[in-house]
Amino acid sequence: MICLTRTGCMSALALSLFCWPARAAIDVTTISVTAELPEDAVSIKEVTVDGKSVAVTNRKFTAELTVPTDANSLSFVLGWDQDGETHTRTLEVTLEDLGPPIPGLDVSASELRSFVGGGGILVWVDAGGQMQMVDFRDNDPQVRAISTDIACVNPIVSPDGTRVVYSQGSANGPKLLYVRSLSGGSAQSIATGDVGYWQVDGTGEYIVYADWSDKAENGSSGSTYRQKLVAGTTDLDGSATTVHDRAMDSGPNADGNWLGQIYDLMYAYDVGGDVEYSYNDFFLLDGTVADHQTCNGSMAPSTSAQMMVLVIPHDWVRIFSFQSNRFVETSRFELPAGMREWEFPEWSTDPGYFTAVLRSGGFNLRLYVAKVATGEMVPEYLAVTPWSTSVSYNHLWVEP
Amino acid sequence: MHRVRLFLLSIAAVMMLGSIACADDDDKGNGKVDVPFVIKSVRIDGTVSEAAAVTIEQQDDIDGTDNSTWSATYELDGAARPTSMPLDDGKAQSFSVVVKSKNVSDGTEDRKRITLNLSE
Repeated sequence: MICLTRTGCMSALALSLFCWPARAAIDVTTISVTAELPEDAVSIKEVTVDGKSVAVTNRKFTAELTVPTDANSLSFVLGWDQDGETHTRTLEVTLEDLGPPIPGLDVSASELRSFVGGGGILVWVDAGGQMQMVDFRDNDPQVRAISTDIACVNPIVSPDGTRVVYSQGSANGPKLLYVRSLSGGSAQSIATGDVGYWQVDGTGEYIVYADWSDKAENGSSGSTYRQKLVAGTTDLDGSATTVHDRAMDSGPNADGNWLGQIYDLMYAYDVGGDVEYSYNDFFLLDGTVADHQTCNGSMAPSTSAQMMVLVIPHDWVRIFSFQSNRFVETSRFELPAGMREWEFPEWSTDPGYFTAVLRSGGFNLRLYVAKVATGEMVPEYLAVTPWSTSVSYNHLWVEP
Repeated sequence: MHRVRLFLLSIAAVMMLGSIACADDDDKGNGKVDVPFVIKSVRIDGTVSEAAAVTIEQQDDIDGTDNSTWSATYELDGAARPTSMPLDDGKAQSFSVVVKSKNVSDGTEDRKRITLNLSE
C-alpha cells in the first residue's frame, strides 16, 4: 500500500478494519469431568460440586460444569465428606482467545515473543528437505523457504541472525556444507563433512564443522575443522584449520573452548586444556555411567561446557554439565503425555531455550519451542507447526 | 533389671504398632483416605459462531462435519496416545488444549486455549 496522504492512510486502515474477515468465534459450553474415588474410601458420605451433591456409582462420579458465555476464567470446588471431614480439590478453567496463527503454523508471533521473551527466527527442514523460516520479530510474519535447496540437514542460524550454515546430502553419510544469507543470494560452499556450527569470538566469525563418521567409530575416523569467514558475510577468509583429531559432531560451545560428540557415544573435548572426556566420564542422575547411544547433540550457547543430547530410543532429551572433571546429567526432559518420541532437539542461541520435534502416534510430527530447566521434568513447551509428517532438523535464533 | 527393660521395650513396641494402625485406620476401623479422588477423563464441548472445521489438538471435530458444535475427550492416563493427558496423581497439575476453527466460507482461522488447573 502506498500512502499519499495521512488521510489516505487512515481511510485505508478503516477500510481494512471493516473488511477484516469474520472469524468463527469459539465458545466453550460445558466441561465434563469423570473422577474416581480411591478403593479404600469406604466411608464417604457425599460428593459435591460447588456444594451440590452428585451421584457416585461404583466409586465414580461425573460432574458436568456449565461455562457461562464470554467467561474468561471460572473455578469449581469438587469435594467429599468422610466421617465429618471435608476434602476438596479445585478445578480452575482459563479460556484465552489466541487469535489467528501465523499462516501455515499453529502459533502467532505474539505467542512466540511472549514465550521466548522477545523476537527471533525459527528455521526448520520440511518433508522435501527444504529449509523454511519465520522471522517473528516482524508484526506480520510469514513462513518462507530460505532457498530451493533440497536434502538440507542441520540448519544453524548465525549468532547475529543474518545467515545459516547447513549441510546437504544424506543424513547418514558425508555431506556438502554451505553457508548462505537469510535475505537471499547464492550459497557459499564450505567443505565436505557432516554438520557445521557457528563460533564467534574476538578474533572473528568461524564455521566449526566435522567429518562424517560412522556410528561405531564415535568420531575417531575424522577430524574437526574451523573455517574463518569475512565478518558479517558468507565469504571465506583463508583456509580451514584442524581443531581436533576427532569428528566432534555436536559443535562448539559459545566461546569455542569445548567441543561435543554424540554419535554413537558421548565425548567432549576441552580445546584449551587439550583434554578429551569419553563416555566413561558421563554420569546419569543415579550415578551410573551414561554409556547409552545418543544422537542429535548440541553444545550450550554459553561459555559453560554443557551438552544437550537425544537418547536412543528417543525417550529422553538430556543435558550433561561439566562438574569437577566429569560430566553429570543435570536435566532430563520427559516425553509429554500423548507423545512417543523426541526428535531433533537443538539448543537455541539462548541458553534458556531449545527446539525439538515431538512424535505422537503414527508419523505425526510437530515442532516445539521449549524452556531449558534443571532436573527431571516435562519441560514447558509451545507448539509451532501443525501436526504433519514434514518437519525435522530445526534451530531457534533468539534476539539478544 | 532385665525384666524392667523388657517391659519398657514391650510398651514401646505396642505404641509403635498403635501409631502405624492409626495411620491406616480411622476410629471406626474404616480405611482412611489420604489421596483425594483422581480425574480419569475430561470432555470439553463448545460451539463456533459460523460453520467451521474444528480441531482440538489432534482430535477432529467429533462428528467430522463442518458445523457449529465441537467436542473432544481426553483420558488422564499418561499414555502415548493423542487423546491422553498426564496421569492425575491427586496432586496439583495443569494441562491445556488449543481449539482451532477454520471458516468454511473463507478459511479464516481462530484459536482458543483452554487451561485446566487442578489444585489439592
